[in-house]
Amino acid sequence: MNKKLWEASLHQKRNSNLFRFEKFLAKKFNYIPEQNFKKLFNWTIKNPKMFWSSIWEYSNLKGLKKDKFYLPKNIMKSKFLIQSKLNFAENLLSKNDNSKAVTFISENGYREEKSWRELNYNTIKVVNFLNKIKIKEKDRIAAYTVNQIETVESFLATSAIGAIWSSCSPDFGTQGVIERFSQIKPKLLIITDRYYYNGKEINVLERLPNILKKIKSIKNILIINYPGKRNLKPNKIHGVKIFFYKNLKNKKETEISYKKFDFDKELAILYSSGTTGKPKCICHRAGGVLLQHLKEHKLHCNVKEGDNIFYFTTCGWMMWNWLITFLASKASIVLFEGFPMYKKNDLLFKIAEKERISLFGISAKYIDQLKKLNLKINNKYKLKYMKTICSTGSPLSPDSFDYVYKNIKKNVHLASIAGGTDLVSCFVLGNIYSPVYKGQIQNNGLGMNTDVFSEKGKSLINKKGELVCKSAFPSMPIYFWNDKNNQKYKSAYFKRFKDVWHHGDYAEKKPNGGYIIYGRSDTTLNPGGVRLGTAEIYSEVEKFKEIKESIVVGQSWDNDVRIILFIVMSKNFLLTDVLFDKIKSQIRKNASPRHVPSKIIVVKDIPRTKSGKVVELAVKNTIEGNKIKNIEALANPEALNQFRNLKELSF
Amino acid sequence: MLKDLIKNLKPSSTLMINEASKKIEEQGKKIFKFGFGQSPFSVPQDVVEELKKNSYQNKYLPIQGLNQLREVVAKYTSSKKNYEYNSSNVLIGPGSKELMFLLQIIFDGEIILPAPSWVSYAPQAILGRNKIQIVQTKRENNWFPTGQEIEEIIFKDDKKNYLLFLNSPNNPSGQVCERLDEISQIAKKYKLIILSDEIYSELCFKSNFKSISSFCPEKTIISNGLSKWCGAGGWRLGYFIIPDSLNDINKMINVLASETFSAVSAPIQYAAIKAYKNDHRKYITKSKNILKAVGEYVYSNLKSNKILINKPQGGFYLMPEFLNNKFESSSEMCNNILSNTGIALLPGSDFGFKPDRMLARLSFTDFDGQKFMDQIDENEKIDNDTIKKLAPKIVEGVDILNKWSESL
Repeated sequence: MNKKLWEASLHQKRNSNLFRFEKFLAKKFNYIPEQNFKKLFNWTIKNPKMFWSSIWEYSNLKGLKKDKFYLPKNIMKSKFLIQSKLNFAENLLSKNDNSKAVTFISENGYREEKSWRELNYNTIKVVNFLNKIKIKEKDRIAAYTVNQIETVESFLATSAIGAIWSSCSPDFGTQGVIERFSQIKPKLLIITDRYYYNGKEINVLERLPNILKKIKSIKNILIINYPGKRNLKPNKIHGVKIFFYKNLKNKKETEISYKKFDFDKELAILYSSGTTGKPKCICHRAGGVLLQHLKEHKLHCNVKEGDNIFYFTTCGWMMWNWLITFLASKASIVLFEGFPMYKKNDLLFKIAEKERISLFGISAKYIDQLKKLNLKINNKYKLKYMKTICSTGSPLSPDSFDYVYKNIKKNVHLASIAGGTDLVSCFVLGNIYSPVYKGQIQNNGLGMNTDVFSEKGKSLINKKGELVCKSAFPSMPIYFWNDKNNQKYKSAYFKRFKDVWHHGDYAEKKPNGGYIIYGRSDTTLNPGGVRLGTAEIYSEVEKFKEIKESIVVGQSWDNDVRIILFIVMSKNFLLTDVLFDKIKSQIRKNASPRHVPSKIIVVKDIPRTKSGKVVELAVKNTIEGNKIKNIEALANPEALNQFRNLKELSF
Repeated sequence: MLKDLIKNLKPSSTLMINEASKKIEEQGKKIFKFGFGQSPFSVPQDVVEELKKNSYQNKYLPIQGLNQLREVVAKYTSSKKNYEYNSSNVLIGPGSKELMFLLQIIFDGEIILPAPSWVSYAPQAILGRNKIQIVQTKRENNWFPTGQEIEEIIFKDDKKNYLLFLNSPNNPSGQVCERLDEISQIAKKYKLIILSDEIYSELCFKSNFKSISSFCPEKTIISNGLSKWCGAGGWRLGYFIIPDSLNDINKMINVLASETFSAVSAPIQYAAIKAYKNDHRKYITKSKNILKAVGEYVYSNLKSNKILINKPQGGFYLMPEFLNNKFESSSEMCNNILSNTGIALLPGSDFGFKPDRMLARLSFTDFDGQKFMDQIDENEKIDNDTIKKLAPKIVEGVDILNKWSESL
């Protein structure tokens, strides 16, 4: 059922960026603004060149724009704004005054703030350093850092000179870092000396010798101190030069002339989750990412100059890249580092209230967690400035939609958004024109001809299938690193359907343009040959306060597949027969009889990736005795041990 | 000892930019001659042969031109315009420039010049002591005046005679006038005649070139010649076609001609008969295809958010506008471009635009047209690789201009 939970007021719609953009189009083209998302969307699909070019103009980007496109049927070969030139950093740093640009807050409340002027100044400082150690265009710079202001400055400086950025957060272990960075041969490693998680201090610097042993390309190290703490001193290492961030000197320049690079200039290398093998190195382009993010931030998130943007992320997740680009919309960003519930379950809301956050971004899992704890946020915080809540990482369950409106804020634009590292952006997300319906992502991204396909490649409505994108978009990867003839790139997205991006999400499109995502399609369950998404089971299981977490996998059994549900019990609860039956009957009733698990097994912990995604595939492989392809992607690989040789699964 | 009227005239900017270019070239720097609009093609061989054959012709010819030539011109033009002209309507001159000058001398009234206009119309009007009314045109109107804009000028004093210079395809904009019907209505309504400068008409990229003369033939003087389509600028042969209704003008230009140039060089006139009599469609088609391809190459590779250009529709030129606040005037900007990049352009101010509009004329003829023509077939599609091979200076110049524009 489509239950409408929220809709923007007429006033909000009329004052939205989306409407401003429509009026902008009307001035230039034969287009009539009607505050109708579907109409605008259809126009963007019909006129991709005009649309993407207009995003540049609407955003007033600095640079040289050429309206040249190459949009062949084979969308992998598409080119946008060919020969256009810009500098990514220059466009993120277009503001240069004393107002607030970026704020850092650690789990224990330590806070730092930098103005646009300081951010500009410090970026130039890092640019000078990079020039001094002779970093050139296209050289790789690896960052193993905390989500702190210095990381942002380093990223900006890297892109300013046309070098390529790649970052991992310190919760990645040595092996995970080596596995990623060794593939791209960085010349410089930027590292934060330590970090804190739930009050515990963890020394990162002591991992340095092992990393350097395995990545010989690193000749320079830049050490950043954890905000508010003194630098930890590393032991001497032969063959590499060590620099300290706080000792970087500036040459008194307050402005530099930014070299303008091609629209397709490499910006950053991000990594696939690595759950199906060695992490793939996805190389993204500066112009394409900037344009896509500006579209999503301004038009879909309605972000305006001076807004305060928060996203709960580390620099090892694509949402970090997404967060930083908000600077291009002249909004200020808030970085959080640490455990989001440190000493206080509602820590992030305390921050949101104090920092007057206008866009509050978290993962769906975090909302689930709040829901489980039954926190009534709105009793304590007014969140007056909060206009938008973004949720991503995994599907946001229908109950979580209700929870947000009931317990966090009544009048807020809840935008469930979905995309991926592969595009550092979204296929489907929110917008201010369409209502928010329970359980649904509002609509397509503008210019993104996203659809749901049957196995045979037919468009589906009201039926589950594969999430695909039928149009090219500027933030497609330029290429994968070390990928001869684009073989890996091609097989990652274009193997399944001809000339159509196959994303690997299992989804359903609604007649109103909304989407429901049911999880990754490679983890869908096929009991009796019927394809089921795991999200429907999760959303039922999440309702039980007795259950803390769960993971569902299909076990090959008897020439078929049977559904196995693993659960972690909440404190002081046991899986009783009554509860067992209740779980089953609720799934039967609200999902379908086919969704009912054959087994429900209690475990102590559930393996998840660093960005908090539960890894069904790793569990499936473990219970079936197969090799786990990439254990380093996991935040807690030890959790897998309890899934080995389970007696319950042998009968 | 000079008249005040003359003292204020400056040498043509085309010549000035050539001198500046030469100086830079002497310093050993590469120059891109995007300032001067000369046909890149050679004169068709049969016409050249005919000139050779007739080099012995040494007699004065009739003032209005060789009868045979006037006949073929009348026939050629009538076939294109759906209007019956005969030889008595045709007047041969040493380039159409001279005929326009004489027209200015005899005409009593005001001259309406659209900005942009060819550089010589205004000085000639001054020499003819005619008052000039400039119409600032708009990009969205293809850089041509609208009927209303012309009417607004005439309306102030509709007793006077007016002469409108309409040049389509246009130098410098490279655009074709589309509001012919509307302009002809004004001509019919008022004492307005039109000098239709059609020197680039054979090089209109679309096949159906339309002349204002088709809308109001009785009020239109057609001006044309050999310089552009036949690659024979240096031969100096142009003509007017003046309808019977404007016979007085025809007569008086003849009188002035007899007192000035007497007649056009005889061998040239004999050779010109061949130019209009023989079938040169293949030569013209090839010329057009090459110019269109090169023009569109420049257009599509140069236009950006900082360089506005209308797509070229005919002739040798396009008119980029470099959006910036860096320069005070278009001539300052063109000097900067020339000294920094070696690319010679003519500033928009030379064509009547206000100096603070950062417009310039770019001529895309700095390539060997004969070689280009020899290497392609008549209807061959000319791709970027061909242009890179056969018009390398154009390609290089565009790249350099792009680089230059990044700093704006």
